[in-house]
Amino acid sequence: MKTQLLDRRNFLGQTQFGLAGIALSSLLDSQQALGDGSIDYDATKPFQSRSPHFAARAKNVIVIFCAGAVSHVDFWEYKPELIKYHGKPLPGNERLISFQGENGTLQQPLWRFRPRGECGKMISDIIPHIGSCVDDLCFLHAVHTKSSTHGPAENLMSSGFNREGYPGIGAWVSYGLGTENQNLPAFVAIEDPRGTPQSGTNNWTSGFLPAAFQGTAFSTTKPIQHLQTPPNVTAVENRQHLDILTSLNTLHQKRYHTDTNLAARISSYELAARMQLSIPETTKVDDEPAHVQTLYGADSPNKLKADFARNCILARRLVEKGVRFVQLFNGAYASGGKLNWDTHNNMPGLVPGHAEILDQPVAGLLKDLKQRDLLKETLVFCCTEFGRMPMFQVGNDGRDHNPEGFTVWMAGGGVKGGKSYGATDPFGYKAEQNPLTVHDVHATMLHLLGLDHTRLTYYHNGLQRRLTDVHGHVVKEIIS
Amino acid sequence: MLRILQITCIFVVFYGTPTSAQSPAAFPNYNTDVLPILVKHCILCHGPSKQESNYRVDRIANLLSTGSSELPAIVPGDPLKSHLWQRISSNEDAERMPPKGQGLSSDEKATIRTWIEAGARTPTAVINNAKTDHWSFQALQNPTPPILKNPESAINEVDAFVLAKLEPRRLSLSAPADKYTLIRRIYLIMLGLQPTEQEIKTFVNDESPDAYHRLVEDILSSPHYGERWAQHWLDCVRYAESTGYEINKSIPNIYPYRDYVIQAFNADLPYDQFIREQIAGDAYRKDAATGFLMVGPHDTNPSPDPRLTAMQFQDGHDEIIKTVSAVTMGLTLGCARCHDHKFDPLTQHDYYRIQSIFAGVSYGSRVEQGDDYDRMKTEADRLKPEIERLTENAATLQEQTGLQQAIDLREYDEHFSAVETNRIRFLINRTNDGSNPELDDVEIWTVATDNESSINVAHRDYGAVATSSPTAKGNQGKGPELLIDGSRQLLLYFKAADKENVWIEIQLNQSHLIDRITIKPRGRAVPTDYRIQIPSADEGWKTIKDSRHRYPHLTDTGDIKKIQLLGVTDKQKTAIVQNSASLRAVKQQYDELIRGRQLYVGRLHTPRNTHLMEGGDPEKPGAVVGPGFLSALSDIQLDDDSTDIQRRKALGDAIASKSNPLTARVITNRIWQHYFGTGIVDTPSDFGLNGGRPSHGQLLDWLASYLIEHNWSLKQLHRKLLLSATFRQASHTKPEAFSIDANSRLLWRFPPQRLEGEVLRDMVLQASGKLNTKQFGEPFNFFEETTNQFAKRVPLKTFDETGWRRMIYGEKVRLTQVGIFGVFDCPDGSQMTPKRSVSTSAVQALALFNSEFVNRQAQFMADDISSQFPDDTEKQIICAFERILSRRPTQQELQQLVPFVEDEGLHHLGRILFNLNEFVFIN
Repeated sequence: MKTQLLDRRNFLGQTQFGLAGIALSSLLDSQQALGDGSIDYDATKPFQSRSPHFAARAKNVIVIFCAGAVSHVDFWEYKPELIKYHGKPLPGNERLISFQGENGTLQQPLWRFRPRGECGKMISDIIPHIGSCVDDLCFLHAVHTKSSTHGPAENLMSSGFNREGYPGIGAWVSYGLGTENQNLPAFVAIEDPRGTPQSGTNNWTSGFLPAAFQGTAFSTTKPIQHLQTPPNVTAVENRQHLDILTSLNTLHQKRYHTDTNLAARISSYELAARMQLSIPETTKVDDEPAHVQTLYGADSPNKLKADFARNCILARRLVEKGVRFVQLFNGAYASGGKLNWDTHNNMPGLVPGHAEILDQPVAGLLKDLKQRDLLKETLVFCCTEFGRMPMFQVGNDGRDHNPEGFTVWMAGGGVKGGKSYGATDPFGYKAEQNPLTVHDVHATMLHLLGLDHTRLTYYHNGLQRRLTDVHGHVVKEIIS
Repeated sequence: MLRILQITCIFVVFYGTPTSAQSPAAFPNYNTDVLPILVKHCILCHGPSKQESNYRVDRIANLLSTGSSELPAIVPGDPLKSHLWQRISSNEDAERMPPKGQGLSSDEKATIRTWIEAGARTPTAVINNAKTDHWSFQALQNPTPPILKNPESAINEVDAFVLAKLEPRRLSLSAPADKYTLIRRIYLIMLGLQPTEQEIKTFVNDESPDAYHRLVEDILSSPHYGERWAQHWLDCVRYAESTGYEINKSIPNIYPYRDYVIQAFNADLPYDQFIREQIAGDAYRKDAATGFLMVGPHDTNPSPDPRLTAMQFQDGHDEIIKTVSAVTMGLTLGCARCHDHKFDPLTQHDYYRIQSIFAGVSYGSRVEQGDDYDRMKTEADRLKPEIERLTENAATLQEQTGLQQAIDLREYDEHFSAVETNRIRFLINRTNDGSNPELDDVEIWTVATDNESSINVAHRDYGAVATSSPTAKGNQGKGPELLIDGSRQLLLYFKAADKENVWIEIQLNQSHLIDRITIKPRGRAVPTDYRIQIPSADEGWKTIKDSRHRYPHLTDTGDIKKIQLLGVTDKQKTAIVQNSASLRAVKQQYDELIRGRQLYVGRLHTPRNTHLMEGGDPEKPGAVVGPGFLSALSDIQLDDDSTDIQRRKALGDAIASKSNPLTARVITNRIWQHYFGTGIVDTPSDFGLNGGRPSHGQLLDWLASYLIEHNWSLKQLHRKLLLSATFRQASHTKPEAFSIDANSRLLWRFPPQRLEGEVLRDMVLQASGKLNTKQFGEPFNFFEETTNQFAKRVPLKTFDETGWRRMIYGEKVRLTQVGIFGVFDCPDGSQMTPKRSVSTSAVQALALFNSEFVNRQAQFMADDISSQFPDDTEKQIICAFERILSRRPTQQELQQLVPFVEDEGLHHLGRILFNLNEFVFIN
């Protein structure tokens, strides 16, 4: 299918042949006359910036993915009933069996909540820096998901499907909109300094979309592969090799001059050469002035915090240079709660460490985007795969997975600040008031980018597929 | 839309012609006897306009379902259990259906009853006729090749069909490709490898008229043919050697399926048999073949949450259903999991009938049956008398020594005279396998009284507290408290930090009179040398029970000096230990033989009940559904209690049937696609309404019929295609033809194609002289070894001979792109990939231009060629061109490159040639 699209685009590009080509195409295949997807793009320039369906509120996106599941009742959603009923069983679900087994009694928030900002939103003491940004944040408190295991739930949050092999949201957005900087990838995935998230590359896969839209993974601690010229080739030799390559390719192409995929390969070597310069330049966050480093906490003696802060600076530098979509991971894979947020046990001991890594760098990112006037056109989306139970597990001082209700938040990019939408039940167990599916959240993100989630499609194995499957409603209430 | 139309048709036809006056049918036919009765009495309330109780009789799936009731409306073969029969035959007015009037006549009732008794067959012609006017469901035609105006350029029937589409558009086939291009093309398409310099020379210089025919025969008998075509098949099924999802556990024993596929292609196993074996290979003593059913991603993360487990089961079987239907028949049956297919004649009921076919299959391993295993079983049988003899010996020794029965590895009791205590201590000095002691739980039981039964006081809810010597890392930092939590958890248990001198102390809430302790070990690291103690009067400890009174457990591998037994002579002890060692050895031998060769090709068992899941929701099981085939195609005779193997065998037969209109078309189209880049149908795994229409429908049917006529021999089909002028024509562009058919789908030229990542890697190794052509067996590593199941794999940067095999033999880790060549659109095993995407990106350019792998191989090639032609730059360049591009350089190229190579060396030319478009494309 994908080659066909490529070819179809090729002949449409040849205007003098275009009509005849279309006529034959429809002769061969009436169903397929529309091609593979709803986006008509030039396969030789897949990242060329494209117009949205309608006026966009946001140009770029930074997703902060807290892998392992952050506890909404300890961080974002204040539940006074949980304090009142501390130590009592959850009414109606006294012996609830969840992912790891039986749950014990209700456990009050592990940290105190207090009102913050002008809006007075109650936020936990565990994240004071993010708490200070609350007037710019829009909380979605009643999101629920389809799986209680990390991998599938992470897949759903990143790609709209709990199964594997569906395009990540960043791939969909770069397919829909292209990007503004032709010397950098459209979609960058920044892994946590502690390691790769649980679903790994499935978070930024292009799935069945053309592979060009796959996320490129690099960070301040993990460079992009093969960016360096081989050690036995000098810069001058390298340039000469490129010239010979181009001249031999040009000779060959004479017999195939209508085949633009050959031309595309030739130009991909030029782009590669430009990326060899632009990517190291962009990842050099040490060039940032000291006050910026301090704002993010990149000068922290805590190495993990400093590294994550540098990744946050990198995220800002990328959107500043016009990269369309950045997926920034906080937390790695399952590790008994040591490398990510999956704290089934010893929450009082483990969570403060994770919170310290997250808090100041993310707040620094929000403040820096704002002071550079980038926040209004950059949608920041902080998510996690599911929430955690309002109870501790039997015999543990940790909370089990809770897919029934949890919190994500957005900032900038056309969403209302200081806003909270939806709520879980009084104990924080189930999404109750204005519940949202992950599809609703995705539909809203695309909407802010000027894309109609029902019209951004691509054919795969029998269907015009969408990020939102057959679901999703835009949450108009949170748009400013 | 179609469905509504169909229902309306039935309605009109039968509503007007009531048949109640007729006598009951002896062999009721659904279409002519049953449906008219249902239409007459039921359809107004249970039909297209109203579906009371969520039940309707005009859709077969719903007719057989439960509706809102808890009972299935129809249990084939059993009217008394069929809710529909209960309601229409009831004598009570409030119960009887229809609610108004006298109900069905006795003849009508008899017809329904007989029909249910006979199995409630629903002749699928009802759906067939009304719904499947779609081309791919129509019987295969065997059209006559068309008569051409200008037949000169046609060599065989393939060309006749192709030219018949070209002629009316005033197009023609291109001139034959030159011999260099042709030999490179046929090697790459058929074998995925380049011809050697010698093979090129032989073919180019062979002027005899059958030179090409002989080349075709050589190619078809090459062992590399199976490797190339197996890769296409493995793409389709998304073969991988790990489970996928977050654990992505590696499956080290599924590669025999990969080998099976390669061997099947090489041996030209008839394609219909190839399908049968992959679905029910155990019926043909081809166990490895059913790896086909295990290739989908499946979540193996265990959880006690029943909702999650139900979802994992449904998802896992969904992968099987999708694979089988899409790969063999080009049907997207997966779309019918939650509702009837929106476009194709596939009902939700069909989906669950197929699920029922596989209800006796689970993800896992089983022993490979066959001659080898038969031999192993015979050998194992020969060990049985020895096992019996040694077991009897042990019993005799136990009796002679008066020792108690050995411990149990999972749970056993220690009894002792009742004592009053509030503290209990365990001292552990040794385990059966010498590792650090592990325990799940310890229970301390009170003496029962008249008023109170015995209770376990060693429970944290009862106020008990456990302490111990240091515990090992892991277990989420937990220690002895796990011994008294009253639950066995898969991943959480007590594990000591030391191997000996381990102590555990349990403090009870108060003093209790106790006489029994239950010990729950974990099957491994089981304490075998221990004391159970209570505080003594002198503030020391007093042993109330110890392990010395028990016969040593068979698994106890401890040194004889360390094994302590009460009241046993040294001679008896030696006899016991030696007897155990012998018994252990022979049992281990026996177990290994019986275990056989375990392949990850499906665990087989009695089929579980299959329910139609409402809305596909695993938590909403509806009516029980028996095994069957797709209602739009044909029926298969299967009882609901048929065995697992009967079910799968019947399905294999139905798919591989000559009368199945899809199977032969789908494989023919796949083969065509791998020749010309695009199939005759450009959606190779979707022959439904949403899929593409055939560009050469008659040709597809002719080829599919040809395949069947030649006993489903794929090699015979290849011969036909390879010998055609269509395959042998040049690939150069022609602007006038391009203006009419830019995609070259009408084949006015051979369409150039970008090579796959696997082929590129194999070709680089071939050119450097390093390709290791070893076939089959365990895969080589692409990644560094890891012991952390959650950490993602780190790609290896360099390889040696073991890793210089063809890429199909590399370990296929799901969702993990192989460095360098993976970026050339290699599928990652998550989605079925019947057709690869072809993308062009800077990341590919960086990988091929800068990677250590490619530059190292360029150096190997340069070294190899330089040693063959020392001090002759021209010859070196010619040889490099022949190896990498299968042609000689032009004079112009040679002139340009000689000074370059003299200046920088041949390895730098290699770097450039490996990056050329000409290298990366088939022309």
